[in-house]
Amino acid sequence: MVRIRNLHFGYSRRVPQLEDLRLDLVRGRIYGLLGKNGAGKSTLLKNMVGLAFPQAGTCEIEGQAASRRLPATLEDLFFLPEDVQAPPVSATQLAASTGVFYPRFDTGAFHTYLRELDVPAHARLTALSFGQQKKVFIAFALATNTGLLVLDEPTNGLDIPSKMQFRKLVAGALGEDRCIVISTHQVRDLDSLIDTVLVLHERRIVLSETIDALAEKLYFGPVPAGTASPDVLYAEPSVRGQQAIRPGDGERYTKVDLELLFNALTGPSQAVATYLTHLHLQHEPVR
Amino acid sequence: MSQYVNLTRFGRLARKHLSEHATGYALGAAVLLGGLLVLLGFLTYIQHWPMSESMQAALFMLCLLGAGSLFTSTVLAQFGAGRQAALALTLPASQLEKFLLAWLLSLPVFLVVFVADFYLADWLVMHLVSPRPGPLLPLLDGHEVPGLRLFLTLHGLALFGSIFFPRLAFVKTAFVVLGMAVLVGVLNFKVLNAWLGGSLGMAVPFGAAGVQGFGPLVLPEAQERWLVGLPLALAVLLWAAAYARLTEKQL
Repeated sequence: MVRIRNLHFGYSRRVPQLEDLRLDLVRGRIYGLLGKNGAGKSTLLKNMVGLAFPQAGTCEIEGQAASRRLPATLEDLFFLPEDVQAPPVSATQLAASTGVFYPRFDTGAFHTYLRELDVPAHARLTALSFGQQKKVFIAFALATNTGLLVLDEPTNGLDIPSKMQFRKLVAGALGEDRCIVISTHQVRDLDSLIDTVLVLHERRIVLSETIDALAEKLYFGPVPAGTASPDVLYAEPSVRGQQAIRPGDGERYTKVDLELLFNALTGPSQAVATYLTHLHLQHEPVR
Repeated sequence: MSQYVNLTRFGRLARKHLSEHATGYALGAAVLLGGLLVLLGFLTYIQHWPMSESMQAALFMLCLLGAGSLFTSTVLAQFGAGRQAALALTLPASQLEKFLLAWLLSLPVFLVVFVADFYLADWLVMHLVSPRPGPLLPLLDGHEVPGLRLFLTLHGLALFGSIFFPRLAFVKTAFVVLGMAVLVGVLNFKVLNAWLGGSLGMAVPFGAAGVQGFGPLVLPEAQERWLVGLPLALAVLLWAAAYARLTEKQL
């Protein structure tokens, strides 16, 4: 679906934001793109959808350079930016005027999503709050049924019940022919939703791996405070005591603690990254 | 389906644009009519006489240039930057279709609306304010529409400015154009003056020059005919530049 090779990008030549990125995204998966504030997540997504052009390397959607922004490519792609200016129309009018551009747009599903997100369909979008507007666009994005759906910080501005509803709707909208990419710096928002983790740190993808593979290779769990455990790759204190990442033993499977993993990969300690590199996981194409 | 121009897709694009902007455009046309009524009515009222054709032509040209440039400065703004640009640029229509829609709205459609507004205001003023009705501006009597060629050039400048400047496009474009006009005027004078040994009286870029003790210098007639097409050539270049800028737009 999306093929990125040797991508270099920076808004100026002297300050690179992305360096030598290589990534393959396939249909049937929900990718979680994680990174600190300013790590370049939005920039990577913009390169993916043709809103920023690589300085070097390529970024293709189904074999077409994303930067060409061809209608055939755009018909099968929907990008929801973090901050959107709503047009002065109602959600129903938005579906009528803009949904027609997407061949698989499902008006019935759009209204179902609106009901589930508790957004009025006939109110002018400009009269709604920021969170309500965001929910309209999330419903629209899901209803387009595009092969590639890219959501940049979609949970920003949503209240807690809406975040739960969002996770439920996205999980329900995934099909075998759909690839969903969600970026966030709030790691917990993607808990139990994504099946593949991408971590962007210091201009590079430092992790691109499925949750299942991570659960197989890493063990997440508590360690008694103050005890030295030689196999601990990373540990940090939490309200539940000291939480640690250890090499998996192939017998015990634990739930991947995304926040702990993210902290391990973006913190000063490189032990987890080194371990994963050693296992030839890092930078491998995800299939 | 063509990836550049497709009538069905263009129709959808036009319908979407109008559904989101029709109210604003209707209000804009009403404000223009009101402004013209006030301007023409005030001038007619203070001179207690119907406006002459030349005065109507001058007002027509000034208002066309002002209102046209102001409106054109907004038509590509949705692609320039800000919170609406990402959705506008990734909307499944070709970049040529998006550009053509902006071009059509800001040139032929605007001209039709402006002419209708002007004549309605002119007619109302002639019949309601003027002591006696006078002749209306003969716009289509075989002569060129007043200021049309200059309007085309300014349209090109404003269209390019609307995609080049993410914010305050009209103000920034006007500032750059005025700055460049002054620069070209000064450079033209300096170069010609040095060339003619310091005897230049005045010089208009691409036009005549006055030389002390020699009289006016004008272009030969054949070259002057070429000069007539200069505003249109500039406009075409600027339209192409605006389109190129749209295709290269990054956020």
